[in-house]
Amino acid sequence: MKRKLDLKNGIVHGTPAYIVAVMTLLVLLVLSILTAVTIGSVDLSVSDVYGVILYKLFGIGDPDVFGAGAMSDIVWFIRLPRIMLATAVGMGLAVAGVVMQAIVKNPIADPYILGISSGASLGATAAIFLGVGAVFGSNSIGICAFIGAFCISLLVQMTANIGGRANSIRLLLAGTALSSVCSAFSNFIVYIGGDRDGIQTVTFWLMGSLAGAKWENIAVILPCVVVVTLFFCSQYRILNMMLLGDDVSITLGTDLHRYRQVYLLVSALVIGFAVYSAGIIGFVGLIIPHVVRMFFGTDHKKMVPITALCGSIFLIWADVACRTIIPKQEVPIGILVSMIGAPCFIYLLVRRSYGFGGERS
Amino acid sequence: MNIETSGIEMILGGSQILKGISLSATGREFIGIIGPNGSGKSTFLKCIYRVLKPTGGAVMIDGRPLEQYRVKETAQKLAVVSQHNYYNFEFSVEDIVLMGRSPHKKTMERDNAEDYRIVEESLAKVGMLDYKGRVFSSLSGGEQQRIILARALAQKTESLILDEPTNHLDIKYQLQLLDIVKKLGITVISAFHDLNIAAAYCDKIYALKSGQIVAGGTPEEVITSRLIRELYEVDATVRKDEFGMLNIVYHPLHVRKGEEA
Amino acid sequence: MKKLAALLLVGAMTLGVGIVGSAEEAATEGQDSHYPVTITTYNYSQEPVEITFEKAPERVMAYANSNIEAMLKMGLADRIVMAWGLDGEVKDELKDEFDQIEYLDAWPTKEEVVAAEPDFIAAWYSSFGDDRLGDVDFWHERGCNTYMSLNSAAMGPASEFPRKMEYEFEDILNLGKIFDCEDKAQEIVDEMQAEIAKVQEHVKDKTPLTVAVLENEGDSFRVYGTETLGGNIPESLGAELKLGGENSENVGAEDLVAADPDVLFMVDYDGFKTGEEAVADITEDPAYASLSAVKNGKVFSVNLSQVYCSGIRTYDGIMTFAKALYPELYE
Repeated sequence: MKRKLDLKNGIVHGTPAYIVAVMTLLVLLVLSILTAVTIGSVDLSVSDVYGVILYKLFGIGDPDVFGAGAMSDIVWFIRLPRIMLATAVGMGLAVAGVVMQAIVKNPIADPYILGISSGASLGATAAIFLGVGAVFGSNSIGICAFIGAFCISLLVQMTANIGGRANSIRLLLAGTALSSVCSAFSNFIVYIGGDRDGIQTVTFWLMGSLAGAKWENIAVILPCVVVVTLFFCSQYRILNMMLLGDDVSITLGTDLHRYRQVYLLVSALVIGFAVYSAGIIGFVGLIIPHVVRMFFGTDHKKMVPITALCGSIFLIWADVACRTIIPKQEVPIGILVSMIGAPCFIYLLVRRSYGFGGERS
Repeated sequence: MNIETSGIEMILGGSQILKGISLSATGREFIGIIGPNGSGKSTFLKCIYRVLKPTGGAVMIDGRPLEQYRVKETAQKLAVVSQHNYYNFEFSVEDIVLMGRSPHKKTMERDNAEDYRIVEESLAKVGMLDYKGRVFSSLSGGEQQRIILARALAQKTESLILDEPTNHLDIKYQLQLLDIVKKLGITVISAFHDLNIAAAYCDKIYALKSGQIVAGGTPEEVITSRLIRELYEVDATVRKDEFGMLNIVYHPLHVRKGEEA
Repeated sequence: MKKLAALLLVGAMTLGVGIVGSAEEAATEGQDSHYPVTITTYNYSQEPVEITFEKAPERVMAYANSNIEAMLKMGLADRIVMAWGLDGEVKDELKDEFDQIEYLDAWPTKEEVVAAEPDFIAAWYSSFGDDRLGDVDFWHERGCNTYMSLNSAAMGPASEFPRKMEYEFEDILNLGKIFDCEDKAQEIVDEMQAEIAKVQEHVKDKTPLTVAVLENEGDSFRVYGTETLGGNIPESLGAELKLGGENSENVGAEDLVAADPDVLFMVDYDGFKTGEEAVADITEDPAYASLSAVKNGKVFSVNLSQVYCSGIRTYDGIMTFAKALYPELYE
């Protein structure tokens, strides 16, 4: 019988299994991008698609064929930005999910748990119905959502710090409370506004979509997400300690309070960007960290990089599925992710008898 | 290593839990703290390991007040094994012990071969090297406490604080754990529930009642029938066995009733 | 406060009309050689954008009744490369022209639209959202002009830029300019304006009838008020809006009974209710038995496509309201 590879502690040819996994996933990510870009509603030959990419990136090839025109536009301005946005948003959400789970010490946490999604929704609703943020032009919904998300995460921290230092429980409570306040206000605005187009826009936006991908945005978001991911890769020790709690961490020489605040702000930035460019895509930030944890264990040294790459790959393919699953129609990615993600997650849960660590011996 | 506390006071939620506790531990001393539930043992230890900040008095480590150390520095000087270590997430044994190295690490520093060597060495000391790849939460309570002890050992400190670490453990594991600690030959301050065990391991014992030290000295000096009566309101006989060990035998109520009849 | 808002509104409208007016002048100046033609349209931020046509567009994407039917009626079927988004069936009189064009049952993807290499897209405000075709500058950069139906929120929300029949006329005239068939466009608009003039002449010096234009949303009624096209048409025909005179906030059953308009219009649309069903909602509900419109048999249905970005169906809208309000005129 073949011996099962131990991903948590195993060594492959002298390299720790997780490093091998990271390398493999990096290759898979590149392959995913290159495959996904050939899939779309218009039939383009694979060589033409790569011709455009080669020309745009390195100036190789015939500028008349690959430099301009419908084919070039489809590959370079429609397909590729979406894929790169999926890469960035998937990575950002997955990493933010890991960090949030550590910050609130709770495995059911997701990137939106501390009121960030409700804050973003409130911002978006205000932009759509009240015309708030009209000065930002066509990006006003996204920008207001970003501002909403960011303000709420600041407010949650401030609230949690009133009358004592914030810990994970106080953060959760403050997050839940402020989150319901925001939802109530959004619902109120929608109810009073009562405008059919507005409701449709809000719904579309809340269900998430990568259709708004533009190079200008990606140029900001992708580097930011990558830098944040690398930052959290370097913070694995403190993330690990967060799961042990404040008291134990102090005996191990780390006062978590300050780190929690910094991490929250950094994650809020990434989540805000994700919300700004793709609306609210649920489940990625919850499921990807759990799946990775099932195979690679809780140690954040392994988890952060692997989760980041899995998040990207997952979202790229989820978006491809959105565009192709029903011909002539695009399924909102948020819906698709939950529809496919949730059953897969439950299957894994049952198969691997993964207890979130919730079981005690 | 020298730990000294002078007049530690602690007010929590309006009531004074500690009313001026002064004691000291030096060199390879094994100090025990006994006392009934709510006497302030754990609160006092928390003041030493910085989870609580005393409202009065001072903790000195090697002659310097505790506040002058950074949290990281205290973690290089004293390690803690406390009673409750339940984690919501699945860590491997190695992950847990490796965290003991964090006081010696800079924020962005990676783990190196030396750290892994120390982890193995610590696990070997508690006899758990074979468990390195296991999931922490799948271990038994006794095994888990040994892993937590290994983490404390990985901190490479000159002192150890045990906050009733053997609670809820089978007697075998209690003795096993304390034997390991005793062999370390470092400064130890430990809270105890079980007087027989305290007497067996401690060089010095302090008895705490209502936030005050009511007795201090060698186990023989401190653990007497009179003190047990005062602390726990229980009658007991204290005698020495053939190995010279203190032996405390309690007199439960129903037995005394039988005598009277 | 309200006064200020009204002033601003009037100011903004004059400005809007001014811009369109200047475009008109520009077009008339170069009459001998029709092109280049410059038109003002809007982007997704609802800012005006000037676009210039060097020649009549040949590869057109047309979205929704307003654009598709107007183009068909002006005999431009051969210019349409792709059309989609009809609410219900195309008008009977245009069936033959409609059969000539490539009509899609669903939205094309942005990719498909790019691949079709259009040189003009006539659509609605919502069509240029990120989830559909993307903002207009993407298309302009690629030599494809765009046009946004004015009443589709091109200039801003209805509360700030009330919807009006005049904008439907302007859309049709603009399309006429773009395709160098202004005569036909003018003919369509003239017909509508003549009908309005006829009715206005008829109602002069009469006490206006009170009306309400409602859509049954189950628990309340959506009101087609003064700032919507559904309110603007009856108002222009001399009726007074009993509900929605100031804004279009939803009303409940009690509000309707209290308002008791002389004539009641219920909106129907494809996939929602038929006209009969929409009327029956009121006439067969005992709660509304006391309404004078019910008692006098003055409850009518009006199809959404006649009162919402209606294009050439604006004429049908005018006729629906006029015939219901002033049957004596059409006997």
